Amino acid sequence: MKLPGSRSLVHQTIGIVVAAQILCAALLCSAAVLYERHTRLRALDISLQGRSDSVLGAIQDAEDPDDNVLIDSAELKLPENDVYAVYNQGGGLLGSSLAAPPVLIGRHADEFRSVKIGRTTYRVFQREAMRVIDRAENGGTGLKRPVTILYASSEQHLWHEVLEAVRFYLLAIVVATALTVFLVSLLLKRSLAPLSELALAAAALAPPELVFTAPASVMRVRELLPLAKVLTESVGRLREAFAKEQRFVGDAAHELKTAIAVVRSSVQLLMLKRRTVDEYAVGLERVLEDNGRVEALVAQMLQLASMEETSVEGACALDFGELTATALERLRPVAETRGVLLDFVRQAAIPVRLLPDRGFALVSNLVLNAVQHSSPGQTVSVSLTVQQQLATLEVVDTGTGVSPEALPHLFERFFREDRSRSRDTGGTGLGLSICKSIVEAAGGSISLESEPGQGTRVTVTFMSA
Amino acid sequence: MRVLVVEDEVRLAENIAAALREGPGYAVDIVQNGEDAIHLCRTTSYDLILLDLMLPRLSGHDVVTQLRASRNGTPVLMLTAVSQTSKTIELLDAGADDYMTKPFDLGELISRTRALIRRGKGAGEPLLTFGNLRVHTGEQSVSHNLRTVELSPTEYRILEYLMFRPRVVVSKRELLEHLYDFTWEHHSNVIEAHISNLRKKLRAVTESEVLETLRGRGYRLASVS
Repeated sequence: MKLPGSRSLVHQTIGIVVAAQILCAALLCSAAVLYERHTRLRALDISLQGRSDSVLGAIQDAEDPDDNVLIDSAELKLPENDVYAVYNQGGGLLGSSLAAPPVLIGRHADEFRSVKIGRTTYRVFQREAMRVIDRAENGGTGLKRPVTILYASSEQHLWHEVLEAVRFYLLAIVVATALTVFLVSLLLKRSLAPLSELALAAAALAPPELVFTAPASVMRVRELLPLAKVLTESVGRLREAFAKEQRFVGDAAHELKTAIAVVRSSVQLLMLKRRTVDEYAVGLERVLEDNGRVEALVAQMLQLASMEETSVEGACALDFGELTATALERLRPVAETRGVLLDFVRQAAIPVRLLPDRGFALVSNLVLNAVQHSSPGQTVSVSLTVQQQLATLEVVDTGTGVSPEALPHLFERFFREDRSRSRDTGGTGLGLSICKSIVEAAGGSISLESEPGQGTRVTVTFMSA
Repeated sequence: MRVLVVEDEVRLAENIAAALREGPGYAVDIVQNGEDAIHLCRTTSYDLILLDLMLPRLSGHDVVTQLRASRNGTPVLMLTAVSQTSKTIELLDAGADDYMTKPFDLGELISRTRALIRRGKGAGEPLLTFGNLRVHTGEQSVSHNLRTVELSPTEYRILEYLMFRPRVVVSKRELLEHLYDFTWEHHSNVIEAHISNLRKKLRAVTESEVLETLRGRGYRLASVS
């Protein structure tokens, strides 16, 4: 798959390797050229010295009254194009090779120098030497005459050799680079193969299984291990969330189907045979009651769903004390019909960041729960305190309480300790889940302590705005 | 016939019980959890159990498994809110005889109840015959040689119970257990009065002693012309 703007790691790596190799090769080549030239020039210089020795040998003992030198080039066996000249102490030219260009054989201060004629560069060697003449004189040792010998040879073959060497190096580099590209791409593809396997394994993920096991080949690559671990963990969390949602949908379906089954059975029971008008009236009242439960269930489920959808951004700082007082006023008639007293204690204004309708739902749910678990004559105490920016709402009843087995499940959706009793209280098993969602969305916490037969205490804490 | 309804949604249980009492005239007991259901089934003999799947304490699945493990063969009709095939297969394999998904039709529930009880008694068709005596369990009607016999609901229920096992002696205790539930404030002489009336009505149409009383042992349907 090719995306515009995507890049290939393999190509990139090969590019880097080739570039590095070419850079190295260039450095190596230049170093080699310099070194080759240097050594070959030295070798030429030494051979020039040697050849000049031959010239010196040839001019010893040359008998000539004017000390002229006669050199037979054919006898010397010097390279064909070499040029040489011999000068006496006064600077007079004693002799030279044939057709020696004056530029080459002109005397100079340096021992070695390079002279360029046309496209050819010559290496010129100049040395001072002693020439022995008249060996019979001076007690058999002869007379010594200082001479200057100039010897020049073309550098052309030197450069030729250097270029040969460079060509060899270049060829070696090209072969090595091609080999490297091939090997690197092969190795990269092999070492990246677990990545494709990882992708395949990840692609196979689909609900509801959602189990990710990294292929063994991936677990053996140290660099891929973190990715595989993160994937496994993320998929695990996803699976849990998915299972939780599934469970909620399953539970919701069960509750709704049951509630609807109740309505339907009530209607059908009424239609089973002809009844009196009074019986129909009682029956219809029951149907209406059953329908009310469906409505409550749907309303609470929607409330729970909306809790997860809408954010708390619209929340403004509201006086939680005022809100609680208003909610309690509305609940008072319900409490009175059950013969339960409501008690409310609060400190000064307590600002809390909360959506008003959510705050209202929270207080109503908690207080209604407490009222429903209380007997006539008992009191439900609601208190609101603030301490070090922490607002605390407490709803305490002295009612039936909750069994220790049920305590850990109270905030689970659709959990009802006793369904047969919740029928009378109209509980859907969602009230405390909704409270928990409201509190947690507002960044607070909720906890519940209870003792069977002693009563229940629900504590909600918020950061005061 | 006596039916046990195990359902934690009280209103639903009440409606089912009322329908079964009004319709086929069964005696119905209600419990709200699996543990109570197991306990009742040990002490009382039911002709059918209507069992909800999602129950507190012990699930319907566990109840069926335990019943079958203790060799209780009472027909079980499961009531579930799940309609997954895998789940229903699991239930039927655990020993349930039939299942219905909520929300169900009350009329269908009554029919299935009737059919399951019939099969539990080993009867293949809804028409029970003994000689020329015919009891139609669906219509709850009785006839002899095509002449309808008018019976009160209780008389019908006694006859129907005996018709499933003609010639077998059924004790008074068994009759009481299967015709009345725990809500019934009954006295043993009530059933004797019903038996007596039933015997008279049957004698009138068949001109023979169909319903026999065996002193100290119980009742049975003897020969009928």
